Amino acid sequence: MKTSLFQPEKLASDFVLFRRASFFGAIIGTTGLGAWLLWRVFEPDGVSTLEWIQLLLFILLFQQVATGFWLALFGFLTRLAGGDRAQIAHSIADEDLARAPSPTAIVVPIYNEDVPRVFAGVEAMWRGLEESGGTEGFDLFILSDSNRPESWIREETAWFELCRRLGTFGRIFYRKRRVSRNGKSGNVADFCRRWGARYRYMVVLDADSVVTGRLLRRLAAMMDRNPHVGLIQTAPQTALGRTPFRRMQQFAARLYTPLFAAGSNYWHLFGGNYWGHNAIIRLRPFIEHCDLPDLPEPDAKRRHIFSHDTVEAALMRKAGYDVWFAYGEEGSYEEGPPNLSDSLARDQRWCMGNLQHFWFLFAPKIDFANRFHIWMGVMAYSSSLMWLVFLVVGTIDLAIKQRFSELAAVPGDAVFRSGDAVQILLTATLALLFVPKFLAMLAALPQARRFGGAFGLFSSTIIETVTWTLLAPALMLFYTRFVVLTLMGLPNRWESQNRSDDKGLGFWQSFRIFWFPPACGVLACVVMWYFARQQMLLLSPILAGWLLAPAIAWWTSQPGLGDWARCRRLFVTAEELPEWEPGELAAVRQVPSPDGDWTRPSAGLGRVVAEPAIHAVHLSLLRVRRPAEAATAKYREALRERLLADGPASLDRREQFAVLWDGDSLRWLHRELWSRPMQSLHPWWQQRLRDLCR
Amino acid sequence: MDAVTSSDAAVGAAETWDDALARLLAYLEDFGIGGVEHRTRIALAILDEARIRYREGSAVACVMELAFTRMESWFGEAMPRTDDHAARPIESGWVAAHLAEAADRWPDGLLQSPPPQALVQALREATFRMAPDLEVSSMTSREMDFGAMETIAQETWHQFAWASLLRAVAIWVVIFFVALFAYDRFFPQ
Repeated sequence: MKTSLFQPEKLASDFVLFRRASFFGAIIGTTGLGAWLLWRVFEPDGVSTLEWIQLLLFILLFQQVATGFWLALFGFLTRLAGGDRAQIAHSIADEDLARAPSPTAIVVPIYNEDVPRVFAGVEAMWRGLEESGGTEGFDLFILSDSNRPESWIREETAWFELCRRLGTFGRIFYRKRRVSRNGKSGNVADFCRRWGARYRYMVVLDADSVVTGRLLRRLAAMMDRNPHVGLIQTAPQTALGRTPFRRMQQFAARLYTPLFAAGSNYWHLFGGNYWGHNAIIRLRPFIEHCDLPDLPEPDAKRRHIFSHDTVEAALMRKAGYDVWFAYGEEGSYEEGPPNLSDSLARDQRWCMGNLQHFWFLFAPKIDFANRFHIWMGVMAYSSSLMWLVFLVVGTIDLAIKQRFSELAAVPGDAVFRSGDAVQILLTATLALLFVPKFLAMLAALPQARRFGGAFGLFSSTIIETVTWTLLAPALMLFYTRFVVLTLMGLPNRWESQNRSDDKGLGFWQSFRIFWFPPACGVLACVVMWYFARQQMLLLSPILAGWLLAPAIAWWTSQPGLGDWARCRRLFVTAEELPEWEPGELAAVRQVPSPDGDWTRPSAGLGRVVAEPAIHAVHLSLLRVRRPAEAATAKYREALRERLLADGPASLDRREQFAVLWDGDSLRWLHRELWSRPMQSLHPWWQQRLRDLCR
Repeated sequence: MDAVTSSDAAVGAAETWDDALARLLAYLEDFGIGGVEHRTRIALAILDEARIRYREGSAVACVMELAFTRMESWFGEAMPRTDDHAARPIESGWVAAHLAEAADRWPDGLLQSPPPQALVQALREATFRMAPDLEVSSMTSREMDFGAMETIAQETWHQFAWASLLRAVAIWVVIFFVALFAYDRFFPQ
């Protein structure tokens, strides 16, 4: 039985070389063919400077499109052949799951999250572990970097209640960092420094991650079985969406990811990538080799690496450990942004991170596969800038040619004189873009029930394709903005508008946020009307996308429309259907809406001071500090008096934290509040006490 | 309540003692002290003591101070002292009582003198660990050779005055379009 298992350490180098050569050969060949066709378009009249620019940009952009196409095609072919044997998941047998895994820490870094949702996820995963063979070997850490007092106190209270309910004191831990340095990667590194040596593996999750107990056990078993593997990344499916935006994203991920992921595994094998969450990591090499270096930037603020994952995978490979992609494993989930605005806020962060990775592109001893992952990450956003420049230069070039042809009285369109090359090129580009979607649909047809039936699958794919085709030009503008601002080191912050899936963007709010693409659309229409009227039809999808961007952003954010679509079996994924929904996801879906009492201003500090239960939990989690210096003690005393006399709102966030970190101040406040006559307290406290005494 | 107010004339306004009792009962309830009867019994005992000790000022303050002292002393006796937590026995006592489900299992036990031994035992066992014992690792950032990129960046990228460059590009783009427009407008074919 065991002999039939896949043994990743025995992969022959010829086998790896053949796969990589066939994959990259296909990309190079396709890109070369496209470049040759464009060359043929330009060549008859001699290649001008503008055409050289277009050709160079075209090669870079066409390579990206070709890569996507070949990933999907190789993925499709491996599926057609009955699946790829070279998968890390095939390296374990059922009996491996019967053994208790080596000590594994599940870490959930959080930052001002929806607390009930986070803890519902933690509870669901822990219960999932219990049901799938027991929690032995696993501990879970919630690592908070929240910088809102109410989030901190809410998290502590939720943790205490969770542990009491599950009986998991000593198994599920909560830690609030006093000084939050280097964001999520700093939070995880802090965990590694304190407790990393106690565990062999670490499963890194996001606040919105849900991983089934079965998959957690399988991941640990894969690591136990393969000591040379440093990291295994799962393919998280987006789930639990309500707005059309999220539902389209989760539908698209469910439909396309299997092909792209299989294609990806086909070429990189042990040289996989890390996405920052829903992955298991071998802790010793991670601690020894994967702490992030500072970037050689002149500005100290830009030396920190924002996006740690891809770099950590590269460092793990550099240290000689394998990084695998367990793409076929079911049970790894995350949530996506509910609307376009939130999606852009996330893209802005990712863009900054991915562009920084450029530093590592030519660093010595980085594995070829990791260099390509880095390149793909950089291109994911910088291609927008290239595409925009390509469009502008192309339009100017066409306008000049048009003018020249009119002046020289040369019959016919300047471009189409070059014969069929343009049509072939255009058709080829469209094929490279849309054939993967068709292949994914074809591959999904035998399991159409998982997508709400054949009609639902077909119509959802069409709507999703049209919507994203129209959104792509607007995204190009925003990504270009992110890229340019990042490269120039200018302030670059896209504010998230609405994190809730239950409330869509307002119609006018959507116009206020997304006014830029329609403005560009109108400007482009006017300019083209004057200078390149005949090209307007060719560029109409782009112009329409720009003009319609606010409307699309608005309708895709409406939860009511999402519910309507679900009733009509549009954008359905298997996880939404009772027969396939894992228990962990079902539990998270039923999370109650946030407790109103926690959303009040100053609820965190107010409740710690007033409520004996929350007060006791908070103080029990504070460590004793050395006695404060006289100046600090005086400062705290002033804060305490102000807090009682003027209410919690009189303290800013920093002052609230100063009080919350000091056990003596809190104890004094708690007793004073309960001991002072009502009329000597600020009305905010009076109301709080009345509520408690009721 | 009549019993309380009837003997208050000598020590202060009846309303103030009513407030104090209400405050104390609410606190004990929020703290999770037993059932109504047990709470009332404790509250009245504290109130009696307060009336004896009261001299001037707020009755609420007098009652609550006595309550805190009594709780501190009761939990201090029942709970082991920990040095690394900011929590005192009264706070760690609340946590332990909650974990041991003391209110359900010993409805009249909390704050009872002397404390029932079984309850004390349960409270001492019902503690939680904030975190596992530290096992410190040295995860430190290392120098990294960025290869050609570092040299290229230092010689080109970091030398650029990007704002000026972009301004110049923007000006040339405007000039280009104005010229094209003017050419089209004033030199028609």
